Amino acid sequence: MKVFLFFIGICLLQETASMAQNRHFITSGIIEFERTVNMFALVKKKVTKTTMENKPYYEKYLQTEPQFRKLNSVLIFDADATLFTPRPSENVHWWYDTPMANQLNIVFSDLKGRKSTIQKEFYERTFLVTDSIRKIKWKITEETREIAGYKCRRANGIMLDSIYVVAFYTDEIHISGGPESFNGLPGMILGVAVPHENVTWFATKVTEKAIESKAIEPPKKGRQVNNKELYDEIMKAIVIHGDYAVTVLKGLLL
Amino acid sequence: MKYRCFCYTTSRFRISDDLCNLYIVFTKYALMKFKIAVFIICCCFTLPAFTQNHYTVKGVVIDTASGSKITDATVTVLSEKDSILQKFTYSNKGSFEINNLQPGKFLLMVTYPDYADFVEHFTLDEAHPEYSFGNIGMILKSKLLNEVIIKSKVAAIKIKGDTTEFNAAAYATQKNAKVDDLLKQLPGMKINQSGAIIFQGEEVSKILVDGEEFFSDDPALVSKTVRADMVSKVQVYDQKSEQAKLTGMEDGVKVKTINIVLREDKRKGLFGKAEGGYGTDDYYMGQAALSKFSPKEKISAYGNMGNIGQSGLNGAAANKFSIGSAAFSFGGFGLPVARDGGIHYDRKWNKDKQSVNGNYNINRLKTEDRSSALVQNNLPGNFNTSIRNSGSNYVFNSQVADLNFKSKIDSVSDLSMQIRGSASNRQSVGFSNGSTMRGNGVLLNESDRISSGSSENQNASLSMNYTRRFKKKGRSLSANAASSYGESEGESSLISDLRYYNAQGLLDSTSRIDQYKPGFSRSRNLSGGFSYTDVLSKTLSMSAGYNFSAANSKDEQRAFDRSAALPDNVLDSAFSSDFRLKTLTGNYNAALTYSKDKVYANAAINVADISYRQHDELQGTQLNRDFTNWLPNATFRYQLNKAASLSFAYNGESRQPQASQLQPLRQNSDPLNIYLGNPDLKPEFSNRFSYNYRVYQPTQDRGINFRGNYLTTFDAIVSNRMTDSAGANIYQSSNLSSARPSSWNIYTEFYGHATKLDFIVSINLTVNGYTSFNYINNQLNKSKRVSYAPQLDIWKNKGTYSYSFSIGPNYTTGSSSLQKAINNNTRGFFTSLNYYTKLPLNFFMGSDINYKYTAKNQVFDRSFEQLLIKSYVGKTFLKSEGLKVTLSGNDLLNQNSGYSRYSSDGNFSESRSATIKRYFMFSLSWDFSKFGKSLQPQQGS
Repeated sequence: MKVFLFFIGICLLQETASMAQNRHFITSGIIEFERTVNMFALVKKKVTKTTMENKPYYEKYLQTEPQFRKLNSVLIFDADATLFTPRPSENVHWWYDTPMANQLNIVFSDLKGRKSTIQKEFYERTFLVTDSIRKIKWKITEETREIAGYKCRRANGIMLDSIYVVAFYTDEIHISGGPESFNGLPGMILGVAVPHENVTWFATKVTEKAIESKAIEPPKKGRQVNNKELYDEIMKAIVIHGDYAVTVLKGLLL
Repeated sequence: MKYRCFCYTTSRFRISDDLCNLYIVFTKYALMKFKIAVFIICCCFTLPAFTQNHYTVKGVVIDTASGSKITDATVTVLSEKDSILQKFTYSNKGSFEINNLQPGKFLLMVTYPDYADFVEHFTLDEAHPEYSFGNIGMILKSKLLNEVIIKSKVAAIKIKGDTTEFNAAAYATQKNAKVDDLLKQLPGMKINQSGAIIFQGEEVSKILVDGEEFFSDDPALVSKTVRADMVSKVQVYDQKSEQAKLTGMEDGVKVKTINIVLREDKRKGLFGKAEGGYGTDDYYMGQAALSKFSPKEKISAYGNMGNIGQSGLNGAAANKFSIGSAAFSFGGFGLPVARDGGIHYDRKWNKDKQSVNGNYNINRLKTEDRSSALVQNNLPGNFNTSIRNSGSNYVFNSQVADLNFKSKIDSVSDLSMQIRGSASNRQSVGFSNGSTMRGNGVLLNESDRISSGSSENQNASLSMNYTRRFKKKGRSLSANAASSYGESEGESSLISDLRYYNAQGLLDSTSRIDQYKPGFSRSRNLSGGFSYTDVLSKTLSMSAGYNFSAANSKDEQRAFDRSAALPDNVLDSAFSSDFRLKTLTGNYNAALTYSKDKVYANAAINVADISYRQHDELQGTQLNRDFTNWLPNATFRYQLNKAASLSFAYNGESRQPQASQLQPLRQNSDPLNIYLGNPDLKPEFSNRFSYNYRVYQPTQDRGINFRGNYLTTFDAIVSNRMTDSAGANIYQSSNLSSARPSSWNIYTEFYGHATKLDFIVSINLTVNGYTSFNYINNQLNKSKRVSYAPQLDIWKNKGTYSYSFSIGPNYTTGSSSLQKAINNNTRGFFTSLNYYTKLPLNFFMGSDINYKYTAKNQVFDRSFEQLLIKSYVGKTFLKSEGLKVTLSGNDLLNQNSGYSRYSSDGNFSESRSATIKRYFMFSLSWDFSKFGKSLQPQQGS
């Protein structure tokens, strides 16, 4: 009732005023992302009960290599689609290498058609995965922070059944996309952390720009598969890893 | 869902509290079941095809100020229960519509840049498949901030292992409040009259600031200088003793410690306070404190003076160096004039690898004490009663300085060093006169005594610790060394007249002592040792160590008779002593710790080999004793869940007799109370069992604490009394094998919020009991005492007003087996009320009212009643309310009488002392603070 009276009051008092507070919203452009990987934690995961022989590598890594590996990528978007492309980077020495330390995917997401095409490279093979856009269950929170000049709200999510994800999205870019295959929030995702996998993505720069539709094209290279087929392929390749296979699987599926 | 307030401004612009809980527990199966259930219901009652579209929510987003429609606002539908995202859309020319929802309870969240978030509930069901919000008015944040304060509800308390953590944001304090105003509000925390902080029945002896010592961790100095608005969290935990930290040996001694965690944005700044007041009867006070904090450096200084016994900046310092002045340790007896000041400095540099922490305090305390005491001494089948009036004037001066240095030499080794020095002197003049009556009312003796004395003390100590860690995590070796030196020199004179009366009450004999007594004592101590810790497995770790110490001391007290018949320099050897004491101690220690998930267990044993060599220089005799002391202890802690923990502890300890019990200094300062030594004393062994159970419910902000302990002693060293026919008492200690003294304590507390008025209620019960034994005229006396003290506290603090109310009856039973006919059962009652409120035009007022009642009983024939009222009224100035003028009245009814009553070793006694009574004071205070720009804005506050 109070609310109702308040509205009546508002309507009576404010009828004449009509100053629009509308803001400009970006509908197409380029976002640069930086992926930060905590290598100390990732290399440590290579040391499991059955692979104690990797321990000296881990200890050597701690002494000789930096803790954080930084990788860059670009997300081009317009109102209907996004294309995520990694920039080339130096290789990690094979002793320490692990899928999570690398950018394996070129991701094209058709937001209207809810389809994605991912060109995925691993173990010297290339796959072209065509399937529906990844579903992530999101829980919206009250927490906010600023990323690349945009106010972002935190959402906690679960994807691939069990991977816990923290994402920050902005309601100032009305595109439900993000880096890699992260999507599904009421705005562009400018920051992602996958805490248990020791990896984060944060936007470093957002540029508004008209994008020709040619620039957002699905990748084409690789063996055509869907998610199920990809999963089977991966399983075949990683059974040899024993305890460590789960870690590899997460890195490859992400 | 009670916490959602339904006034317009707050409910519409705050995010549901559900959202605050970030714990993701996706109830996958529950959701699946829910969907199946929905599906079945749909099948039964409606056409499935139709249900797909008709659950809809819609509305129009407008700007409240202008009434214009907002395009591109983000409209999000969340499930109410877990705030999981369901659907979202963007408004188009203000209007939005979201279709294809499932029936259920939802939250609608509308956001737009620079506008406050709008959040509201709605429900869709069969009867109401469509929900229309109509116009949703959005308010610009800049406007909103002036109109309402958004405050999210935060979990007030966290329990982590043995640490209790309070979130300061959950407790409101007045502007310019200090840390002690915050501490007072925390459940389980109390601050008593003399300023001591009690947490769940145990005294807090240390307060750290951001984990660092501040003014030598003096609780009063921290709680009176640091501002409440700087505090982010208050953590309370048990710390190891200084000794255990230095040597790495677990001694089972726990030091209750508070750590004040500062807010990130308040780590850099300048703040302080200056206050002065003058009142009737020449009462006055002045206080000033200034601190400059930065993340790497803290500087703080304070000065204090006054004669109103303000238990603030001076009280704890006086206790800390065991000055023993009764003025502050017994709730303000005596009339003190105090002056003290201090400086603190700490700094970290070289990437925090090196740090230094130094403190200096200077203190002068003059106390005038006038008191009267009534003591009943129980005897086999009889008793006598003595009355004594006494007065004394003390002047005490002290200076203490300490300097701590810590350095991380490299990534594996640490060095720490502490230097401490103190100097003090003391002058006293005292008189007393008293008389003792037999149980039948016939006079037994009378005494008059005048004494004066002065003494000077100097102490210095140095300690060092070096720790080296090894590659294997948890493995370390540490070495320590310490040395201390102390010296005390003094002189005193005594004139004592004693008159003894026979059974008829007629003068029998007299005795007079007139002596001059110079004294000197010195002690040197050197110790060193090492300890080793290692990890045996993921869950198990161990430590072992050895420590050695050598102590040399000399204690010389000489007495010279001053009578006309004898020259001045004749030694009275009966009352002179000169002891040299050498103590060598070898200490072996081993400990094992198990820690896994929710279980923590620790067992340690400490064995000390002590050789004790005392030489009596005057008599040429030697006393040699060797002791082996055992100190086993064990702790078990179980974390039942996030909010509840249970712990048990056992501490065993052999306590060797003190030097004064083996061979006391021959003294005649009180000819009616004489102490004799017993060189045959063996160590006593005590066993202490304790438990602690705590539960806290964050959603309701309520909890339970159960704590208790039981202590029993084997071969207890007890103090025996022989009262001769003339009424003089001779004390001597002995080991008691026929009975075991014990004591126990139970503390129970429940606290929570009253739902409507939202004050906090705490109900607690403290029960203490002890049974003690001693021989009185060779007959075993058993004293028993149990006291029950239930208490109810209610308090509430808001920005503009606060009140607290406490009430508690207490009942004590005390009995002595030698005097079965007379018991010392006491009933009592207290209540207190404190309130503070702001008034219009920046005026404020408040009162502290305390009422205490102790009933008369079989020993004390008068009941005692006291109502103390302190009131104040004042006005604040400036926007920060930093400038304050106050008029206060202390003890308005002039009833303060410094009363106390206690019983020990077969005595019951009662005393009254002169104390500060009614006065009025006018005071002016200025609080100021300036903090650097916030580095990380705090969320949700």
